[in-house]
Amino acid sequence: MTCDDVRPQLTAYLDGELEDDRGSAVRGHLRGCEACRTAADAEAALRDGLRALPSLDVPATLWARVQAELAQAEIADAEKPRWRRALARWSPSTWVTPRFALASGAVAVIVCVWAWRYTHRDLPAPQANLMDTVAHGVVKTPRWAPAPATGDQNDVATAIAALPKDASDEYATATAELVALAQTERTTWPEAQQKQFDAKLAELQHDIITADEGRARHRAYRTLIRYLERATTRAEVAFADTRGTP
Amino acid sequence: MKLTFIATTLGLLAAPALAEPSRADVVERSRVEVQPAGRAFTQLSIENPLGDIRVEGYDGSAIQIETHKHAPDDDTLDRLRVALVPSADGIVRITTSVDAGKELRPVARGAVRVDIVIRAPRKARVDAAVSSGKLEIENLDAGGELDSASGSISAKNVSGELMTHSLSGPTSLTQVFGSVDAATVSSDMDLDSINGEKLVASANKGRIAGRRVRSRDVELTTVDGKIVLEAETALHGHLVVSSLHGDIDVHLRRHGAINVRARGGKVDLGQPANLIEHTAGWTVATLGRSSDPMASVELMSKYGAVSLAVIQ
Repeated sequence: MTCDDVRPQLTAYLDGELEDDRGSAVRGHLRGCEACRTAADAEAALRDGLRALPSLDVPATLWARVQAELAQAEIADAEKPRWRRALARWSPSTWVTPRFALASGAVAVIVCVWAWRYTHRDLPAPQANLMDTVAHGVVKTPRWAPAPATGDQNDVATAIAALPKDASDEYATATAELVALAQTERTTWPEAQQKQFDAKLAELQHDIITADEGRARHRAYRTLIRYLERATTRAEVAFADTRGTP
Repeated sequence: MKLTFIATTLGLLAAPALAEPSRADVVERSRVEVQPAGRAFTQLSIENPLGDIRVEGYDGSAIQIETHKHAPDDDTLDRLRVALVPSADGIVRITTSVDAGKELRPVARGAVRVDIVIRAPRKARVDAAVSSGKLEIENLDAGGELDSASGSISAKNVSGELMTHSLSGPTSLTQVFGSVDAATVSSDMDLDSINGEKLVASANKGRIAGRRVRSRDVELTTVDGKIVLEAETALHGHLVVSSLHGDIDVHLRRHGAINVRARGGKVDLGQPANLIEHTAGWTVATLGRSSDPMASVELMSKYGAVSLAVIQ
């Protein structure tokens, strides 16, 4: 399976809509292909962001207008000759009842406009290219959204999208080395101290796993690294707080 | 104001030896000033994975931003974005990115660059992150958080709580008046004139060099690197310096008495002490009159040498 085969299926894969064998094949490809994995991560992050958006609470006035439009369309329909209403039962409604279609279209436009305004209402100053920014911070261009990864490993956008994970990988390497050192030191500690260390290590490792990729995960790594440094250099394993967490 | 310079082919041919592989051909400089809308700017948050960040504090109220974009051609230059979001709560966010899409051709990472120079109100906190670029802040009064992957971090004349973390870029902190928490994974750290309640610094695989450190509580840790510290002890302060493999060399200007505990492959406490004991691998000593206010000093390196010199 190649990247070109996998990319069109990423959305369905992330939705869990692929059949078992196809899903397994995509998963297998992602394990070996960093570019596709990055693209999948980017898409997953985008979807998470969309899910986090507040649900639209449509105002009562909008529904009232929708009902009024429908009622108007029904009245117009009732005023038509009987033969035309009979024909309508056998024809596409949008062709026979243009006013109803017009009303539906108008409602759709209203909903879109309202939704656009709703999603933009909390932005006191939308993001913009600096070149479009005037001296008072007023901006003209639409909201900025993270650039999607192209999947090309040599591409700067792909490289930028991969930065958080690259940093996590470096933290993971350093952490693994420190854990190995600490385990060596651990053998010289009393049993109670060993238990404290094991419990704290497990807790901090769990924090890393459950943290979102990016700043939160990097912070969790740094907390663990500092803990391991203190444990390794001066057998300080007991404290439970995160003092000095960089 | 927008200025565009296109380097000529002749120029490139004339100095091929000087041309870097990633040398950009087109440069665009732009400046913008953002005035506060009613409320003063309290925080500046900058993320620039494409180049350097430099923030200088000044006594004004506006934020002045100068960007330098470098790209191999005009089309690529147009894809470099610097986005700005001033919010009503006094926070200004600046991020850089590159337009991407299937229809756009890939651009090598080394071929483009965006450097940002900012003049910000002194009282604004600065949170900034770079990848491989340099990150420098200077003359600021509200501290901040600085993050780098492989780029260097430099902070000079900064007050307030300062937090820095770097994976492999060196860190240099000079004239900091406030608590400091600094960490590197595999790079060196230089500390000069650090004054504050607390200094916590760690370098996993790097050295730490501290001069004129006057923080009340100091904790320096490395796993592999050497630690060299010239510091003053505060009355009732705590100084903990520890390493696994690195040597520890501390020069201490003391005020009052100090209680020293040291452990290492080799321990040298320098001057005669009032009382020296050897207990469970530790060398314990009291320097100065034990009736004076006492600071505690703990030095340990499991496999390295530990030395302490006290300057009266």
